[in-house]
Amino acid sequence: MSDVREEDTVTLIASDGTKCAIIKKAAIISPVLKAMIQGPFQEKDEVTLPDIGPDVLDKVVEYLELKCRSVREGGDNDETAIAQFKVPPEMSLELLLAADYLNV
Amino acid sequence: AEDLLDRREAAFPTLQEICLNKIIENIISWEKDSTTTNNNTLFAQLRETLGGISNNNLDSLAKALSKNRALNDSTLQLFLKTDMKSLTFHDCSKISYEGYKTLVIFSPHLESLTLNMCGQLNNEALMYIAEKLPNLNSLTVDGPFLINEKTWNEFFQVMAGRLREFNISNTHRITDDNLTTLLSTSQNVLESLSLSRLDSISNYAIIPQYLQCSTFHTLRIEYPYNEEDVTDEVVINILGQVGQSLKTLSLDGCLELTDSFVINGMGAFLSGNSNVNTILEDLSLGELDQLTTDSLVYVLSQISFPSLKTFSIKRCIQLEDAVIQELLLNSAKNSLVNLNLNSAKMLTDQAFTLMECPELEYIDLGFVRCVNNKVIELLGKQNPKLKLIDAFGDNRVAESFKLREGLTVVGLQSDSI
Repeated sequence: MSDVREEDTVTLIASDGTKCAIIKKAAIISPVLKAMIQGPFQEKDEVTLPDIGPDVLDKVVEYLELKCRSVREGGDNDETAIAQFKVPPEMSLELLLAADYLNV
Repeated sequence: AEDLLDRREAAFPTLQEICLNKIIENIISWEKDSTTTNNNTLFAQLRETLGGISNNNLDSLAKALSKNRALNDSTLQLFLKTDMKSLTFHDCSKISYEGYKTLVIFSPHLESLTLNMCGQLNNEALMYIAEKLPNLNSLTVDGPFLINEKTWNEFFQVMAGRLREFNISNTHRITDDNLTTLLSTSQNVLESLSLSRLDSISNYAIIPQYLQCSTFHTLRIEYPYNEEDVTDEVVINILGQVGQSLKTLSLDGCLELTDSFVINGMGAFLSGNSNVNTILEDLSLGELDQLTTDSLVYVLSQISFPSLKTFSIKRCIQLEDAVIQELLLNSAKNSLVNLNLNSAKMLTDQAFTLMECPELEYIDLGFVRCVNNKVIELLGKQNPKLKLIDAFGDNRVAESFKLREGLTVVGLQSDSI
């Protein structure tokens, strides 16, 4: 993974075509995204996620980037980081399924 | 290492956990608020607040909830009032009998129901299931120990002629009499029967005379209370009846079985069309410690199993290298996905030199003492899809081996918790 640079990003595409950029380092926290980005069937720098809606995808990206930052900082500020992460109730079910799919 | 065992990477909570907490929090607060309003609006409100979800996704939701041990009467509400046909709950330990009743009333179209760890399922709830689900044809229950003999009989009577699959495990209250009722009321339709760890069933010998469905595909007889109850003769008779159509055969823990069953049962009745059995996918002979190398070598050399995906000879402690070599000569080599050789202590590292299975994903090598770093590295190299090796108790495996990406070895002595 030494070839992943800090500034590398990937574009995730939601069900309605909305694009959402994410730092590569954060994206590969999800084993599913990692396989899509780095596996033998590379989708270049765009990944289409037809089952995930745009709002949910935003939230997933927020989570992944938060986690990525937390891991880099050694996990000292985990609790405050989690407290900042709010899930709106109306999204929680869909988000759970997306999280299950992405295995995060 | 604890993280490794739980397949977990960091202490940071997963997104799934965060979502679940949110969902449960919401349901509980809704329940508090809505004690005065009627139930119907509660579901509507739940749906509205938590966002809609399609029927296809409900199954994933059930899995996610069970995996996180968060399925209870509150989260059960998410599954109500739908036109689902099949439902699997992997962990029902927190669902009360009232919960089952509500489930049944609001999901009347269910055809297949799986309830694992359903300790709180009682007589009343089981009869509810039988009466209120007119389309139900498949029931899998694990641990239904509140249900007594009389109720099982009534249940099978009500379900007469429509129970295609019945799988039960972990209860001491289902008896020989119940088994007879089940078999006699469903003999023409029953396609799948699993009996595992049932303390009060001893008369397995009656099974063959009732199995008459030509599409019978799954048979599991596992861990009988008295090992003497499941003899070679019983199993040979059963295979004689349904052997040609079996997809899954599991006889784990039937300790009384010997080579006679392998040769006269498997050899004679699993032979398929001119010794090519394209149907059998899953064969499990765990803990049959009386089996010897000769009988399995004979069967594997006589019959080709091109569809075999899962093969277990866990704790068949007498088996030697020749069984593995014969398995690799069999066409099963190209279809195998899971292989369990746990505790096959007579094996030597020679057994693995030729193991090149294109589909193999998982192998359990626990307590196979010959396994060393070389074997692990070789398996990784020769089996491109291999993802996981269990190596508990293999003290010749040291930490220093090289693994390709995507392959994990679990159970090393050097891992500490």
